[in-house]
Amino acid sequence: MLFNSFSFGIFFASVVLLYFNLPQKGRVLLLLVSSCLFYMVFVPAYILILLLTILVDYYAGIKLVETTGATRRFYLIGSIIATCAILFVFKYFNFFAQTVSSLGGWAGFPISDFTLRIVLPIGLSFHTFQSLSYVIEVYRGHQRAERDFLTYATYVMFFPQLVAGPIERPQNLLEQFRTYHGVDVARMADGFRRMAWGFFKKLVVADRLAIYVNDVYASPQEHNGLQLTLATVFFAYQIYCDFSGYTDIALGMAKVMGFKLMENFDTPYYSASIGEFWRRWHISLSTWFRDYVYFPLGGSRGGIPKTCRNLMITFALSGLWHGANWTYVCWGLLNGFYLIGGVLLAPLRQRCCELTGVSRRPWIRRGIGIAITILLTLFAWVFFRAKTLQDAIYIVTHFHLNWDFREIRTEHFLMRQMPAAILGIFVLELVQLASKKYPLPQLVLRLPQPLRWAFYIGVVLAVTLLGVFKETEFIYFQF
Amino acid sequence: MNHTHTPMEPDRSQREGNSIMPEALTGAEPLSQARSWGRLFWFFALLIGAFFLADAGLLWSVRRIGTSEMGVLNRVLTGKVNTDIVISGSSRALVHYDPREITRGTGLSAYNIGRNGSRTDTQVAILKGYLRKNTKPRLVIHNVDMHSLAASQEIYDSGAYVPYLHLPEIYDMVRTINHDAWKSKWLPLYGLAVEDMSFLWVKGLVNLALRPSKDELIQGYHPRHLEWTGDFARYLASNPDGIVPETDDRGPVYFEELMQVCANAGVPLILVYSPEYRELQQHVKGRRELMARYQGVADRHGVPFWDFSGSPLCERKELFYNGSHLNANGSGLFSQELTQRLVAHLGKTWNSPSPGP
Repeated sequence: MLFNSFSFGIFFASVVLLYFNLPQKGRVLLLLVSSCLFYMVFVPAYILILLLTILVDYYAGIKLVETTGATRRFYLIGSIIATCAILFVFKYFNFFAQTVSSLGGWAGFPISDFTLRIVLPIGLSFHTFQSLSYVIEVYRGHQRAERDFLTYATYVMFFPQLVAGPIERPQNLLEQFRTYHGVDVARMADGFRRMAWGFFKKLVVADRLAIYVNDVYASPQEHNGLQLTLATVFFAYQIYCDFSGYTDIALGMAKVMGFKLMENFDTPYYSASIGEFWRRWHISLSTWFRDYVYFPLGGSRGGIPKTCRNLMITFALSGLWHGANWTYVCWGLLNGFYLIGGVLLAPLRQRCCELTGVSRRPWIRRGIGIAITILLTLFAWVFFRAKTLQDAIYIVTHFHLNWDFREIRTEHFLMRQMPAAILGIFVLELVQLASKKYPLPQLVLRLPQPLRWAFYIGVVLAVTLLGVFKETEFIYFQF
Repeated sequence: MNHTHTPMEPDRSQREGNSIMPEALTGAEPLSQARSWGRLFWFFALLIGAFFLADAGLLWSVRRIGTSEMGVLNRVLTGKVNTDIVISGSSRALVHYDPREITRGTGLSAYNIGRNGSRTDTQVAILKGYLRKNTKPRLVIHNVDMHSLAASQEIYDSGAYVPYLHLPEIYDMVRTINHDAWKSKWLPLYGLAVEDMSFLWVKGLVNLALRPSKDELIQGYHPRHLEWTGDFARYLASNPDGIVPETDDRGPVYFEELMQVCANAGVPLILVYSPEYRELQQHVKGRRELMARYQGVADRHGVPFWDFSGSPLCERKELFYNGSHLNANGSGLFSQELTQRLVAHLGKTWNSPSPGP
């Protein structure tokens, strides 16, 4: 059930109405049942996989507080292995088998290509990491074990963030299921406003740009350099609006019901360095890798070589988390290289800024930083989006060739879509920039109620009429 | 990754929140639960009301578009055509048949209701709509294509039909192809939001404001002033083993229904296979059998089937802009050739004691 579907609208309205008319205990059960229903719409049988993950980590969490020493470590490692094994089988087995087969063939030892015919359960990577986060935090003593199975299961399965995050920490979310949330119009209005903004990003911007991107990236060899360039820029906006739009909808829905989820994006394309970009993009995932992979490896302690090693391992895993394809691994490694380059070249960068006088003008320095970061990110997105490494290499080597402004449209993206696409991007940037300077929601709240309501109705009508509703999944559902 | 953060220390962005949506102002006294629900109820009631109003208004404006294919569909389905000769079919009908040429030769009024991207099921539905809303024509000329025995998998330009889902022939056609058509019929703005990828509602509003009169289409006919494009080469490249005409179980049923609709309405029908470029004809597998099949259906219903595949026009690449579509020059010449044959046929049939073929 996609957020941008009619059936989800009915589902959410029903859940909200029931939620606020039930006592607290009933509410947790309602959220659990509705989350199960939400998940089962995709592939019903896969609820069993989710249930297995929940049971393993619920049991492990309790055992972690009841045991000590080696037994305690056993439960931690066992839980991690069991949870990751499920992820490996469904997401990485075929990739691993094909890689081994290819390597064997290359080395002169033919190995038959055995693959499993299974569909990746939706959101597997997200709820797996959320479960792992719980177990690790309990082990570290930062979170008490949840003994109420219903509450724990709801924590893992909470439908607003079940299939594409944010990857919540138990300290933030678990206790909220014990808090009674009353009907608060101001809070609910805030939630609905957040949802409306998310739907704008997803329907008006992301899904429109997806038409162009899908045409070009499906067959890059049949498109000219201008189309390849435009498709890559469009993809940067598409993935941002798709994912952050989903996050806005998820956070908004949760807020309507009284829950506060963590922020996952902070206008990442305004970052002046790759390091800053990764503190503002998919924050819940990057902090997860920081806290559970990078820091345990040693982080930036141990000198530059170890820092570089730890960055590369972390980003290779991050790339692999996104998908079982070498393009994702390359994308992750590229970002790792960028960060290493940032670390190694920091003194040189500082020297250049001093020599050119840029260091005395921070806004110029920041502007240059933003421009370079955007270019590096765009380059990396090519690998993220391309179907194969060959396609990615073709695209990056043909950006500059055969620019033909008469051949800008694609098979499905007619030129009448272009004004709407540009307008969507313009409104997105305008609102984001304006919100840095002005408290936009407060400005709207100062309007008299009739005007305020007319504004809201106008926004909903505009999103409805300008949105692209041909069903396209959220990009991050596939992870 | 900055190691200066402790594992659980929130980042700046989490402390400050995404500044685009900070906490709502709640300086006033909180409302009671009943008043809160009441306020929410009235807001959503107003929102739904606005949806119904916007839907009615925008569909009304779309029905008033007077230009382009939407303008033609509007005239057809609101009974504003009322012509002697109706030309129906797909894009090949739309761009091949010049009604002015037919009128010049026959002295009868003519109108082209061909629709881009349509198959027989859609064409039959539009013809039924035409016959219900307009005066009975004296003749229907239906252009036949390579894929006339295949039903639609999806509706091209589906948004155009949203204002007419209240017509049973249109609704039945759309619903057969798209099972969610009931949503477009009953849910306000659903059709315009989901099905309309051409911004017809914008065109409707612009039409109301500016009332444009310039139209590329002439009595429904769209002359394409184009030279040969690369489409044909790409089409052949994507079909290296030859082109197989599509057929399925439902297509022949609709094809038969076409004959039946005209027979029931008492309207003479002529099936025409308009010219295709020779090189395309050579790449079509089973072409002869397909033409024989069309001829068989036509003979069974006593309907003439005119196959222009052997016309000298088919040899001249400069008259086409791709393998299956004539450009403006080509369609002009074809329309003349068709008209000559039509005059001879009408002379024979309408001067005979029992009019009609």
